[in-house]
Amino acid sequence: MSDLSSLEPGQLTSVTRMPLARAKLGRGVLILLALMRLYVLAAIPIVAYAFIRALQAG
Amino acid sequence: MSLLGSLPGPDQIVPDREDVLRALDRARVQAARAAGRGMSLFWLILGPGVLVMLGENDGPSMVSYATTGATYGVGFFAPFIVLTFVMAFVVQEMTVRLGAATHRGHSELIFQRFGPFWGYFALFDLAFGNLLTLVTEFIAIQAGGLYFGAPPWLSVGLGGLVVFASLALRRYVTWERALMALALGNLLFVPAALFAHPDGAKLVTALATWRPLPSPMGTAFLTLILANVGATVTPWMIFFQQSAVVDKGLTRADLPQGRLDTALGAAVAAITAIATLVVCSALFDAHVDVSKLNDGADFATALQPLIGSAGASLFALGVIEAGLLAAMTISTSSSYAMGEVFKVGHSHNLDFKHGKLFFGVAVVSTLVAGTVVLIPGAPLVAMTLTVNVIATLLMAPALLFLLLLANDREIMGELANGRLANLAGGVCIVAISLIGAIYGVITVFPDLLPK
Repeated sequence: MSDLSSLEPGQLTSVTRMPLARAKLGRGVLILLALMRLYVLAAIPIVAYAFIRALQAG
Repeated sequence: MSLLGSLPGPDQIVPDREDVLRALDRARVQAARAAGRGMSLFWLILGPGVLVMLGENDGPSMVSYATTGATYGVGFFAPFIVLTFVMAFVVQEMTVRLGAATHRGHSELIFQRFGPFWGYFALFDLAFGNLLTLVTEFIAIQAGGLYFGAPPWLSVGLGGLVVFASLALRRYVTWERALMALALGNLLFVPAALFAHPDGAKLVTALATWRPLPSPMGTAFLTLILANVGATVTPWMIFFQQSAVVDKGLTRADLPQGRLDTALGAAVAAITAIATLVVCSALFDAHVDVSKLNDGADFATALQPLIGSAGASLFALGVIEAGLLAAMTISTSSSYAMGEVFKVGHSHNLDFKHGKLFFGVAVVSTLVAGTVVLIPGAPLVAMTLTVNVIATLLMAPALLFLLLLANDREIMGELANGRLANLAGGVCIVAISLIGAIYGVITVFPDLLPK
């Protein structure tokens, strides 16, 4: 067997492929993430608008 | 508390190529550390920080610095560029800690800790933004080639072949060293600047006093401020460096050298960015109309009568290198993210059989970007503008997740952000997010501000 002793246990691919548990999020973080969803919803049409506008400008 | 289920026992571990090659690299690092060979240790750990910082000195970024120098000369923007790279260091240092503490990439941490919505959002935001950015890198390669009379199909084709050749190395450390050798080409902007016979005293005064201040401070000034920040800190950098730190196998013991690697990358990238500013200040001094200069070839051609053929050629070569290095790092950042989220192999240490998705994403995105550039009448300007808008508007979520993860004590342990790191990181994140949002808004609504 190959010598893997120089790797930490957490570096083995068999370990890194195991998913971590979900984070327990406090109320503040949940509010931040909700605001971030709104921000993303606002950003997507801005990106689309910017692209269309740039297309029209040639 | 363990965040994982039961770990596999030693008899259950089946070492694959990725583990074996990483173990070899780690053994070298541990031997250098045990022997007290500091320089050797630093050399072995050097890589992700240098690549991410010089990778971000990409085609569009060098054009931003060139436009800044040609518009305002040397003055306020020289120290401003230094400041932006200090911010980049503060942001990227967190990714080194995250990678060393968790041995996981950024996208998989977002996916696993914050759930599929944010995981897929981060992935597709990154992949889409990276694909468009790759197009702009091939535009830079094409523009640099045009200066030397190479037809677009030749320079884009050769660029694509070099990217594919780097993927064929199938060894992280070899891939990294090959890219670091290529990254030395970013320094071509330094001798190019010397051909402009810069006034050293003026540069030192500018760095010390932030003067002369640009005049007038209108929309153009604000746009260049925002473009310079956008040229230094972008979402792909966060994803790339953390994944590269994991692929290289850095651990907590390597953090001092990992930080130094990032600081060195930031310093070299700042020097070449300022060199670009300096060389193009020759255009400012000669009152050249900047509005007609759109890409690397335009700048090299305009510089030729001022700094000579040799200087202009170095500039054009630098633009090609900037596009090429970024094409490699950015396509790899998409590959890492895809593999991490879909839980399949994601390493340069993989063979092709086990790394189909990893190598496939880089190959396909490179092919698509190169092809788009060669399509007659393709909306390349619209794409370039959209890249900027996406990168700047979506920097805020990327930075927020970075800060949340760096404060996640369950995964970071004692490496979680302290008060000072949160203060520095928070200030950078608020500043970059605000600047990004303003950039996005004035890009979409250019008439909001007076000229």
